[in-house]
Amino acid sequence: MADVDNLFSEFVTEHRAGGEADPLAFLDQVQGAERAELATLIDGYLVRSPGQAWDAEAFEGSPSALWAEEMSRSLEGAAGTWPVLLPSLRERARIKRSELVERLADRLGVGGGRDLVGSYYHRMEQGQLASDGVSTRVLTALAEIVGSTAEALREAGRGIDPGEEASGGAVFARSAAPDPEWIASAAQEDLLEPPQSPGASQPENQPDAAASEVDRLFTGGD
Amino acid sequence: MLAFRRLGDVERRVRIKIPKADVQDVAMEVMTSAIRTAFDGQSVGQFVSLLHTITDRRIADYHRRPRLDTQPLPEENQESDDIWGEGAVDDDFTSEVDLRSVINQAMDELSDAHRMVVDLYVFRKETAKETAEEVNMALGDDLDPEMTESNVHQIAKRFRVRLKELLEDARGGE
Repeated sequence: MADVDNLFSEFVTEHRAGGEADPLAFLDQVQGAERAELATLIDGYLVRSPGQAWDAEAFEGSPSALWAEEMSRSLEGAAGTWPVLLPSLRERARIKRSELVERLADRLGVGGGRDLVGSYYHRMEQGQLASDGVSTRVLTALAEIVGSTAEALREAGRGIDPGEEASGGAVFARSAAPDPEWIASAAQEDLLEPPQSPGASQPENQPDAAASEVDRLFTGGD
Repeated sequence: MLAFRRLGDVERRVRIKIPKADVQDVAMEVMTSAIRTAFDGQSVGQFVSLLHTITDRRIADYHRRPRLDTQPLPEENQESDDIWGEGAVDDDFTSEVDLRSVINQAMDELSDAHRMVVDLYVFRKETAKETAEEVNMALGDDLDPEMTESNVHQIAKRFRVRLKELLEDARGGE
């Protein structure tokens, strides 16, 4: 059985050297009360640690980099943290965008406006659609598809307000890098390519009534 | 940049208490929340403190919230090391204990000088000599006699004993 003090010292040394310093690799060497004691020491150290030096090389291509990109869209966009949340929820639910759009259009009763629904949904993921214009009906339908709630989506879509913390962790979603298998399968269907913008070139067969209903649902608010 | 530099340590703190499969989700939630709060000109120190507070809160939230994709408890599947990490099954109560509050409770029982010793020597891993010197420099006028290396060792040893007691108490209170 390894000694708690030695393990703690080894963890600190590895962390200060810029190593991986995975707490579990150390915690797994002790059990019971000793594991809890070591966890407490490591946690106390990490709270006080100045942090590791920035490693641009390690950051590049990491899940953190993907999240940073989504977070940038959130900060610059008009849809709160939707650019972070929506792709994550979709990936967690393992639903391809085309499938999600189809189910969303069906639930909204605008099957004829599916392409336009796809365009609007893409803008939601990109943070390019004002969240307060998206109706609760859309959010409810979307939430049912991806396993969230309309309230959580509404909350996440709020603008990022200075000095105001996001409320109590109501939203939980995978923000990790998408499953490579899922990416490969999505890429096969060309799902990662953005669809056309609403109004840019509306499909010729897009029924006007359905289109205006979709516009209302995505831009007219409640 | 400040936030990203801290991401690794946030992930490490989360990893101690959250199943492996969900660590990154919770860590990203922490960072998202922190960034949402960080635009009012706070200092680096305040931001880091805030980050750790949010981390504690999100970990607690995680253990409270119902999840759609409920994972089996370690006891339900002794082979679930991939989910919980190796050794998690064996008598581990770490995830149920609020580690930071245990530390805070133990620290609150100490005088200023002893608290500083624990902070520097136990958690920041400075040497006993450096710790004694810093404490004497910071609190010299109020300390009689001066802090010595031997004092530092004794204070740290007592703190560790107290920490174990509090952890046992927390375990008993489950």
